[in-house]
Amino acid sequence: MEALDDEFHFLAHSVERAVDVQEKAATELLEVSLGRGVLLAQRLLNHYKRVRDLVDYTRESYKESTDAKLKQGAITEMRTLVDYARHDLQRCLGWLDAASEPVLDPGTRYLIEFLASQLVAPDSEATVVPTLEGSYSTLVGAPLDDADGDDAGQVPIVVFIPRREQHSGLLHPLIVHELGHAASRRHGLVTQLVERAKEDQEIQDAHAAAAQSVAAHMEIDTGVREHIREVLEIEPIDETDSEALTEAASNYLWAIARFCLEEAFCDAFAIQILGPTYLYAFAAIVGTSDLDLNDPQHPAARLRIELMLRQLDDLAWTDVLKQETPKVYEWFRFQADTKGPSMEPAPSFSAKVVRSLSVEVQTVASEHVNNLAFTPDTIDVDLRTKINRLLEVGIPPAQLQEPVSSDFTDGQVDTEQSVKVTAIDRPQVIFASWLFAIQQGGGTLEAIAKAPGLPELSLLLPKALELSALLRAWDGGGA
Amino acid sequence: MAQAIEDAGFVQEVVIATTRLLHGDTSLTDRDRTALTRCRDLLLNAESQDQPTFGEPQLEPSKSPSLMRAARTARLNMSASFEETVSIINAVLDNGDLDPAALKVIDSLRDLFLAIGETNLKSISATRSARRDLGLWKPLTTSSTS
Repeated sequence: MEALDDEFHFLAHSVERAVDVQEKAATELLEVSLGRGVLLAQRLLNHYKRVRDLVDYTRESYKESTDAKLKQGAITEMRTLVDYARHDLQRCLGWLDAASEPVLDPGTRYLIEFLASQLVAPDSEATVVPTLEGSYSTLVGAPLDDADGDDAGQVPIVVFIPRREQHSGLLHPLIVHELGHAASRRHGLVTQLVERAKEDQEIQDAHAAAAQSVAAHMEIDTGVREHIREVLEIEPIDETDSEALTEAASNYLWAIARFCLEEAFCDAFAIQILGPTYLYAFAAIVGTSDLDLNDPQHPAARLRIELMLRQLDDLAWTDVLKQETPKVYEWFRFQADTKGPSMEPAPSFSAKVVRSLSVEVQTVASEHVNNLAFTPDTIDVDLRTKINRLLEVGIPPAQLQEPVSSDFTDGQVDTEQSVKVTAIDRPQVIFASWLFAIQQGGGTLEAIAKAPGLPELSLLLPKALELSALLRAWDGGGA
Repeated sequence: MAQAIEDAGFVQEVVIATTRLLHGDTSLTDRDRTALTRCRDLLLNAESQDQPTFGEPQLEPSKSPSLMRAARTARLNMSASFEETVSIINAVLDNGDLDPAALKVIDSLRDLFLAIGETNLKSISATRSARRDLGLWKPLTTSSTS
């Protein structure tokens, strides 16, 4: 029994030591944060407190008891907590570092904060974390949930970006897509879509057929079983248990359909907010991969292009695309019209769900974005020309100056010229800057690859976003 | 992965509450009562044929898909059915009633949760090991643009 006791205390102290370091980092951030990452640090401190509370509670009951089974259970719990604290919680240190010393320029941060407050929750707080991962991703919810479940609109969001892109023009469109994930999870938007999918008879039939096929694969292929166990985060599946195989196959299919619907929703969300700019950015990052890749968490890029073109067409952007970037549009159209290879049952099922619900996906995105939508009727040739002139001479295109008609003072004409200064809307700035960069590069797909690194997108655009936000705040419109 | 800590904490809370009952202490704390209520809900959910929702954050341990499945798997060793166990938990929660037959069921329930705790730990270790081996490690997220 003594050896058991020693093992328990050994493990309990290991949990506490792992949490100590992380608690200290969160506390330090709160002391010197200058308002950044406050919500993140507070929620992490709550989470660390939860871990400590579990350790204290278990230790207390351990001391009071002589029951060997209780002691064995307590040891198992401590092993689980050590694993969690050392691996999962440790990554939160990187989030605290990013909140403490943000890598993004102020203009991009203002844009993210504005959109998050409008579309995720009024008092949301977004922290952008550069990582060594190759792709962008988002975290909202656990372990950053409010302990009482009543967050009163205070939602911490963590957006992960590839470190290589922290000063690139790709940031704005792709972070808008990522905020779609946060909005969806906060407001249960994709959950609505999944429920609709589950009510659709054709989808139900396809699900039943695909589940049968996937279960049969699982029975004979260890790799498939392991992959599904990994996605569902469940314990190893017994290949001789046909009920367990069918259940796992069924759950797996709904899980990947949900992932893919969420991606399609986030694309639609970003198109609503940024119009064709998102499509250009998508081409720069996703268009370089295998367009027919069967990824369980994403619809094939070819399908995503097809759906985005359809949405842009519904929003009356097609003429703008054809006129401004005809060669790029042709490439997109060609890819969307090209039939991909036949797919395995699982990705084929998720593609069917995404395609069947494409109209609903657009509608949900459009209703959620509402008056923040960027539409072609706001495109003004005169404005574009003015923005281009500013970019040509290296001035951030943030504001427009228009002469104001003369006033009469005491019956005399005031001969001093008055100038009215207005902030250019940020989606306009982003779109015009992207078009400028693409057209400067010859209007080709190759120009899209170069655009994110050009000074117009990596230097002037962030500065323009910053100035536009400041001007708007100065005028009382909020940043 | 934050679910893992919720699951581990919940399992241990049930083990502590049932141990207290087995040692003749029926003066349950609020925490014991919450744990037993959630335990009853987990058993009811595990019996239900409704599919749990995967792919979205799920922190309520009584609806945790991983615990539900572990409960279904581990119940083979239980002396009573889920229904009988649920009614005994209800009786304990209502008036602290525990006859010798009920104690046997509570003992069996504790064994079930000890097994669930072991399964939870194995599942976490297996997932981490698979991620290492297959290069599938991802952040705490389920979403990404590319």
